[in-house]
Amino acid sequence: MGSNYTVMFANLVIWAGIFLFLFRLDKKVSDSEKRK
Amino acid sequence: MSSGWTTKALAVLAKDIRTELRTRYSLNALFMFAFTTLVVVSFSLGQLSLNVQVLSALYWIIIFFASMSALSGVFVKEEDGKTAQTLRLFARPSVIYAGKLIYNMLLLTILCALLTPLYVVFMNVTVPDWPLLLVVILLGIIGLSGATTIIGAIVAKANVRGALFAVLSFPILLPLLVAAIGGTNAALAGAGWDGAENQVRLLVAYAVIMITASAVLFDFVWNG
Amino acid sequence: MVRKYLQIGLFVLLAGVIYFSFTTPAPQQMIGEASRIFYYHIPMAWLTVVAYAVNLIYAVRFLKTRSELDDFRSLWSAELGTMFCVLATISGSLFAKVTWGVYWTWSEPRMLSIFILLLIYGAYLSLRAAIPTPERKGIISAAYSIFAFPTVPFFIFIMPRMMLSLHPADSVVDKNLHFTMGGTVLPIFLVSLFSFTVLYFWLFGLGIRLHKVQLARSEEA
Repeated sequence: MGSNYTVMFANLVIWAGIFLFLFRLDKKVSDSEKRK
Repeated sequence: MSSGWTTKALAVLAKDIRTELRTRYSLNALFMFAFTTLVVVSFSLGQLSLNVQVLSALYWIIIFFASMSALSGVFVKEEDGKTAQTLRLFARPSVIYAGKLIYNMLLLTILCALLTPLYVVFMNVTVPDWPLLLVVILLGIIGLSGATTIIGAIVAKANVRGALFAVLSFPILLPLLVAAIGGTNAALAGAGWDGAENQVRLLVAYAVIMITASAVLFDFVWNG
Repeated sequence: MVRKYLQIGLFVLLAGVIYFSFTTPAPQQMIGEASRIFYYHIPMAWLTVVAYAVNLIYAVRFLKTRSELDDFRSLWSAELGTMFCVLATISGSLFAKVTWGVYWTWSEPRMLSIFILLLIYGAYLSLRAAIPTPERKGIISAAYSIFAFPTVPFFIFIMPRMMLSLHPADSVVDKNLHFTMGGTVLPIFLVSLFSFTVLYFWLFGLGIRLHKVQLARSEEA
């Protein structure tokens, strides 16, 4: 069962990374849209 | 109006036939490629007694690759010969499509008429059910032409034509190959029309769908 | 404001999926731990099809409107679809290795279907790259997208029936095509499917908005 937790945490970290990237990108795009 | 349509379509067809008879580029390419492949296959596999499934598959593999090498040019030669514009002015897209479609079917029919007896001879095939086999081959030809004619038009204005033609055609031709190989298998194994029922139905459906879709889409591809 | 909360909500949902997919009992006892990949593999395959559908819809629309935006929507969905398709193929292949010992087999209908989709996506993108003029690019690729479409239902619906008749004794294939979802499995799976779909639409919308912004900026300059 130990290795399951490892994989799970790895996935969570990856997802967190992807999400933060998308979140910031979305914010940048929204700002550009508002400035326009 | 309909007689004008048919006359023009036949005119397009006649023009292509005449050009082809003069140079025989496509016919030669088709037949030499298919025949060479057949010889290689027969030479390398001839010692083994191949079962019916392998024989069916090999036949259509040969036809498929021959088509990939030779059928891409049906519209390319118009672009290269600068006759495309004239053709566009000559008739409606559906007319051009019909003419080219039948031309491709003729090419393939001639190919198969020559190749099939040679295949039977070189590969030692016993054919218990010739009518079924011929029907399957004919339907396969119709489906093959139906699918590849418009793709020929699509690649005519692109850059890396030969490879692109194969890349675009392959996914679309897979259902046809599945049905044709299965049908040929049934014919060679003596399974009769009942055994081939699914495949024949599929072949007909495929031909109808592909030709209908091509007829609708050809206008966009041809005229932009 | 609302958008931010929705996005955070999506994060929580998918994080929850990840957590529970590993801490609850494995979905399929026969296969064991490897079956957990279904929580991810199936949504990937599903999104491949969804992306193609969106690509198709905008292809048809583009042929009517000739609007560059519709063409871009078509293209962008195809690019997303290709990504999901690659992920689906890889995850499926890994699963096949663990379960059946082979990375690839043509006898598995699902594997064949996703492969066909990969080919169609690849062909579509190759075609776009090969056409020099921007006007023709959209039209020709839209035509191909529409033309290639009939192949898809054939491989997703007709082929499996034909293949199962060829391999009637393939019980492993059978089980994997219809594995029943009981207990904790169904809710996790559904939430995963839903969340990934939302993720796709977020990515899709983002791409479109980014494109519009870039267009506007190039117009100003």
